[in-house]
Amino acid sequence: MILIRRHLRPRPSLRQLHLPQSRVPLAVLPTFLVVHVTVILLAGSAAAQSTSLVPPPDPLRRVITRSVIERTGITRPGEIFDLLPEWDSWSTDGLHDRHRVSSLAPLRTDTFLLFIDGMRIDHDLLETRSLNLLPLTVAEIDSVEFIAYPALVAGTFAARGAVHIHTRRPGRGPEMTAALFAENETGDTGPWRYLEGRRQDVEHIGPEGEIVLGWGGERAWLRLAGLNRNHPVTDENIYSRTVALARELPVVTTRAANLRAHVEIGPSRHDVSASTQWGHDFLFHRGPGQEIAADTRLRQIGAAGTIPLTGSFGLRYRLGRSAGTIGSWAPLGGPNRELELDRRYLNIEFGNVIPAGGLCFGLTRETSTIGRGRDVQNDDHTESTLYISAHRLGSSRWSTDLDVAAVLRGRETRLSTNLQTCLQVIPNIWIRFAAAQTPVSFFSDHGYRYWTSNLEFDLLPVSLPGFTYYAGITDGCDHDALQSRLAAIDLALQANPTAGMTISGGFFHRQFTDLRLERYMSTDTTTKFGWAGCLPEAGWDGRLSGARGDLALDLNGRVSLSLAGEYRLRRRGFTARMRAIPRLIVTGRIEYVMHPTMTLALTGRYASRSAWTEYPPQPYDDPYQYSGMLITLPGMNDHPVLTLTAAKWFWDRRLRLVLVGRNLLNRTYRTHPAGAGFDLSLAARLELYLGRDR
Amino acid sequence: MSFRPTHTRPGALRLLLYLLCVCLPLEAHAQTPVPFSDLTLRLGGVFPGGGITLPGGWDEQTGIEASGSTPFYLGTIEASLRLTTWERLDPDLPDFASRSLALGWHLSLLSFTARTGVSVGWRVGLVQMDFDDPGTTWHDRVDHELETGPVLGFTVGLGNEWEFRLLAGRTVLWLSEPIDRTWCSLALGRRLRMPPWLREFLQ
Repeated sequence: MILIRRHLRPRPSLRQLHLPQSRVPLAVLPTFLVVHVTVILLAGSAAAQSTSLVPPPDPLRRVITRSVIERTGITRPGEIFDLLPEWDSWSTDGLHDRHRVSSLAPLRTDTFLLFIDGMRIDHDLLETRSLNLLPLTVAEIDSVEFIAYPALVAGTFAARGAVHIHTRRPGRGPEMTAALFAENETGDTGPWRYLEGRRQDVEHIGPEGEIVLGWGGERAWLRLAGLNRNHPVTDENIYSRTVALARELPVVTTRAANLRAHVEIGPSRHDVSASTQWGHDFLFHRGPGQEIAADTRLRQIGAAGTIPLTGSFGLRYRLGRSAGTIGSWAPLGGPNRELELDRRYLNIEFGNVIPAGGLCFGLTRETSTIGRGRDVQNDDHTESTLYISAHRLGSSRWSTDLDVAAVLRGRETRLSTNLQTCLQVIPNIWIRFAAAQTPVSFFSDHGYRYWTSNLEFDLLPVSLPGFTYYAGITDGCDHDALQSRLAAIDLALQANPTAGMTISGGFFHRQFTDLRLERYMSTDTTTKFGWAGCLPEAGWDGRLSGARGDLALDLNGRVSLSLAGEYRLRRRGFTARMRAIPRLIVTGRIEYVMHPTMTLALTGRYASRSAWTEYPPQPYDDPYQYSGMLITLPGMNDHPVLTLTAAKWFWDRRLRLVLVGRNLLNRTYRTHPAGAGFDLSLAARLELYLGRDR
Repeated sequence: MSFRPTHTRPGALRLLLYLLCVCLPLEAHAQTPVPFSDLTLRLGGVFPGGGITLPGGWDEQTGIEASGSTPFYLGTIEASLRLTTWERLDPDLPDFASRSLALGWHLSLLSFTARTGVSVGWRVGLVQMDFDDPGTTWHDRVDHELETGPVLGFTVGLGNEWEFRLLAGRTVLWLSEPIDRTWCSLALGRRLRMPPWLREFLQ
């Protein structure tokens, strides 16, 4: 039920509601700043008539639609994260992006699950979570849904959130989309090479080519896509991190093809997808401490469908298989490490299959085999998930999500629950209760595991251009060897005093505690609201941790500004060493629609480089695994400071040219001759569409 | 005149901002042409300012430039192709040819008549440097880099169709050691009515 509702009508975020500003009594607004509860009651009745049927928005969920992607000139899938101030995105080389929820997630959630049209994608096979390496083109994306809390998605309980990409259905008849993308970075030596005796050709991103063929009928559609991406590792600062002696051309390549088909037979719907992907990449090896060239291959095939049986009840199925191989190359040549992955899953649900919601029961069985190669231990396991999902939507009074999932792996059993209830107590006043409890992962292989639970209580008078209150408390405890405990508390306030303006503030604290050693392993305390600095005494343990500030402003979707600051003192591992991690994140975007076919967008994003610069990246987001091994290199973040995008449609919206000029800050931790913070790149994407859909 | 590589060019930015501030009020009084209503094709020569010499290396020669411009939603856009050569000063170094494909945006600053006036703008180009280095592959012989910079143009109309344009610019080629240079071009242009199919395409 949840899947259908999310797929067909994702819940809008506060910024997407576009609630009428005129329905807000302006005189009430200043009062909010004094006594906000009073304002809720006063202003709530004033807007009672308009949007009472609108489901309550989820402040942790965002949906980026295709119109936004086109308007902002997104040229690569990973750039979508740049539109989300609440998500951190960083990179060590400008190509392999990593992302996480920056503030509200109770855990470090860069291990989110990825789904494409309800099919789970093993995008973490390459130990990176870059959407830029997916076998998916930008032209295929219809919308991207960001879920930053535990939820059941497509029969899989995503304990650390999920990113769900919904692809675009082809228009009627045949259609074709072809695109070319190339980027040029400054810093080449040019003629200086003959004087300096060295050559540097800084061309790291592109060229890329994509083609999408589609056909859409009344009850069926078909889409075939192929892409070819080449990313030369010619920047010596990136090249120096690699051991590329076994490869003459240090190029990261991705070639992929995917096929998706949809057919409706009577009331039933069926989807089939298949993709294959192969290429070369550089993966970090702990042995030499450098990145080593690797051949990668990944194939996925899947099917999903809905079969109504009687009334609103029916059957839903999903099955798929992923198989991949990584062969790494030693400095002296020849593969010295192989990693194979073979994952199969089957999911069957029975219950209500209508968007209005209902009750369903499901079973997911997943068999994974990781290993088999030399120097790699096998990790074979079969995991079964038995779940009940209940959802009620459409009532003007209440809405509920309930997920209960029991996961069995060998002799271990874990129980995950997620409950979200929104109740309209009086017109325009919603109460949301959200609770989740889940073990984050089976860590029995490493001798420990932990789980977390969340409890939130919100007031959501969403018919206003809105006030949102939420408070949460998270508590968890390890059971096994490490005897550690995770506890967190989250209290937040989000308000929209005028349409499009969002102010949020609150408090967040979490800590990992090693119960055996009676030592705090990691603590983070965050206060949210426009202030960054040390708190004299914060948190229930009375320890100084840090602070974070957030301020967001969004005017009619055209101008947005967000400001976030963090200052953290973090303990890592079993050492008592405290490390200060100050960080400042500023994002802003201005759009200017020069003509219905011409848009200019200026996006600014600055993130200081002190945080999340750990190298190598932690593949399992395990706070312990690489303790003591992490290296912090200066300036390894990849955050464009200024991005000026010009997107123009030609030929009756059949041809689109996107020019992107970027001013980069420390993209590859190199020191640019023009000075830090002044590095340029110019990218162009040319997209041709032939069809009848536009 | 010798130009040494420099790291930052705040002067160029200041100049453009000043010119924009000056010209924007005047532009409001000027008659705004219909976007993509006409097409002006130009052909002319490019002259390096004072003869640019890269220290220890090359001397830029006079080149040629072909361009086409059309009214845009705001101002005028222009695409140009420039061919120049750099002759070696040291016999151990190779000559190289420079081909620059650039996009420019111009805004009218002063209009004396319908076809005579002063404009300012900004140009972004991709420069291909092809070194006369036999024995190497094309990939090793050719390099690409961005160049940006402000331009100032003076146009004199010759009747309804023909015009002369003097364009002066200052561009930075963003190599590992940026090359900052000034130049001017003199071009003869002819204004054509935009072909309907091309206008429909651009719109």
